[in-house]
Amino acid sequence: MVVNVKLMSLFAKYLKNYPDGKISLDSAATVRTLAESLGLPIKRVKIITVNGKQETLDKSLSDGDLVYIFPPAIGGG
Amino acid sequence: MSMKDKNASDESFRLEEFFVNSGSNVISIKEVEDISQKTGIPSRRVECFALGKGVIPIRYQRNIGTFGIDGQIKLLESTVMIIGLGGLGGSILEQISRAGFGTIIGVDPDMFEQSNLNRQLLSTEHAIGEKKVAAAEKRVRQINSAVSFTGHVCRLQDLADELWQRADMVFDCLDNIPDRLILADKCERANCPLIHGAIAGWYAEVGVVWPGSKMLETYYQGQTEGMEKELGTPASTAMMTASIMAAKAGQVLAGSDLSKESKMHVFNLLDDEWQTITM
Repeated sequence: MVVNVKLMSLFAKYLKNYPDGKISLDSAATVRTLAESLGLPIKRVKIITVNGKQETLDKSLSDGDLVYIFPPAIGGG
Repeated sequence: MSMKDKNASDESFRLEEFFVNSGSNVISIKEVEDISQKTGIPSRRVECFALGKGVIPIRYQRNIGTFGIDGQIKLLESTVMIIGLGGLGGSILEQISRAGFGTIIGVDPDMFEQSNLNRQLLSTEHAIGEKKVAAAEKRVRQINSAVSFTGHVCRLQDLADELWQRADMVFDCLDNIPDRLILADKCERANCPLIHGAIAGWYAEVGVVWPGSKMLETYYQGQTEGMEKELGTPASTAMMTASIMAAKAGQVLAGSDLSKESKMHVFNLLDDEWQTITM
């Protein structure tokens, strides 16, 4: 299957080899599988959305899913 | 009749004579002040009375199409707390005092430093070393004398319990996750909606934390560090985020029919994206 991935902010560099954001994965893949395959620092991967809903690393993925992973913004300006 | 109702009734009786034969559907700042001085009734309540009679304070004329007369009265009657008077809090203060949020409580233990000047609206070169709360009070006086501002130079943990009970809404303008979670807990206990906002570089997030939702705990997933140290905090992101927070607050207080679903709006100014996360 192929999922669409968007890594924002400090995580964007982990997607530099995939300019179109399309990642091919096995059919049983989870967000964790995806994050590991991209080399993301798993301990810092907390905010994950799949098709606009917040999920965890254990979320199973489906073909065509839209996945966002990003660190939180916490500054008060 | 309760004492509170009796006082309100007496107040209405005293104000009525100023509006019986006025023949005007607007009222100026000077006219409000004159009535306030003659009756001893605060300007804010004179404005509320006028609005109730369909007489629009000119200063709020351009609000009415958005909030309505009833919404403007609700804003004037509201009590809100701003926790943190930096880039987010200072810009929110500017907007909500112009909008006519009637009673504002500002909380910040800090004074201005040079590194605040790139984005914090209340900071100026002359204000370096000045308490942020003092600058906030001065600014509110300049913008809207009908608004009541009370400042507290302390951390949120040191505020009296009674203050939380008075607030109709709280703005989260803090700069770290542990304090933000303490604030969310305080609001939860006071059954008070919390307007959350945070920024880092070109990224920002805004959400209304409804009591009972535990939204921030769910969102942060145990994370304690963000990315603003690496990415900085530019003025444009801070002011955009403050504007969205002020807009959400106005909608909630003025009675817009908002969904109470837990949603975090995440903004990415670099790639022109606005994502709404449902939790």
